[in-house]
Amino acid sequence: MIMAEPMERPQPDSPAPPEESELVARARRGDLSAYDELIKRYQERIYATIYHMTSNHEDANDLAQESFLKAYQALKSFKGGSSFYTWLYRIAVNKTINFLKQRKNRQHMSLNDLDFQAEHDPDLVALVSDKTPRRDAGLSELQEKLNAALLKLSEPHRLVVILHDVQGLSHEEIAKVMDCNIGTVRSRLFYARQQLQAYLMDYLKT
Amino acid sequence: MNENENFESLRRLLALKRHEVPPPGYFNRFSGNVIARIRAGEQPSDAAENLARHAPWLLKFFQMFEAKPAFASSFASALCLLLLFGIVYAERPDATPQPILQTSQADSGAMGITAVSSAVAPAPELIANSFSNSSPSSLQPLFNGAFAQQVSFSH
Repeated sequence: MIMAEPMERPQPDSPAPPEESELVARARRGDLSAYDELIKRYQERIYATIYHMTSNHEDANDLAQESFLKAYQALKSFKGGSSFYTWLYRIAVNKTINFLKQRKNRQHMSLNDLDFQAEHDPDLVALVSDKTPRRDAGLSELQEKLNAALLKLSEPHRLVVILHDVQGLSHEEIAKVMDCNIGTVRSRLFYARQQLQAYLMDYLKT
Repeated sequence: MNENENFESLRRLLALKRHEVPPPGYFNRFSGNVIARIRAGEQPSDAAENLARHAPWLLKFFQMFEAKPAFASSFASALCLLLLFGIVYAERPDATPQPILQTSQADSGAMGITAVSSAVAPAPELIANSFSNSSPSSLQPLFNGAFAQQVSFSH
């Protein structure tokens, strides 16, 4: 299973489908079955974003659950100015960044397994080819090096790379989630990619 | 040149992240876990959040230690100085005991303890009797043999 496929994701700031607004309204009245439906809709994307930020499954599990809990407790303050999805995303991102600031210098990776499709992904097959300088590197080693390199980035730079290059959000969507302008998103993305490329030089084709 | 073309290899490598998946069945249980926590009225388990709710000033104080190591070291230095001052002050030769303690000890020695020892303490010979000859072999018969009978089991 591929988490957070960009093609499957609804546009966060497009008008919310009636089902979602209805679910939100019912959840605000205390209908837990409606909130359960909302959780099921967004749990994979929220979990994936937090997991990619922390590189730790247990932390991601805790933070994702607490994000949904906090969102439920704060539902009455949700005015509908943005979509529920964007609002939820902001809660999760803020919670994760606060957590990472407190956890600074105590980073411990607990990586999830790769799914069986990874070995057949054309991009990855092309990467792990005879043209790769470190062609003896397997996918697991690449995974570990990639996560270690991501953890070296600052939280805002890591978040931009995760949201854009892994989650597939547009610059505009990222700017709304991070509450900054698009120029900032672009410059952070460029800098973060430069840093990552330097860290992973041995594993990238030149 | 398009910025994406410069980082094409990196973008391919980052695609690997999309293949990292949690344990099987994880998302089947996830919403149930969240709903159960909501039903139980469980507060966020994060201790820092509980602290932030009940004593935000204390949390800010602790966070300053993490954010500013200089503040943490100066706070620790101040504590050490305070401790050192306390030790030096306590060991000063001219430090005299508290007068109130002296008075109470003198009073109790003169009146209380003497009175108790004369009124309640047993006589020295009784104490000696009760603790001497305490081995089982030296027990004395209670009735001086007056009611003792000789018993034989022969038929």
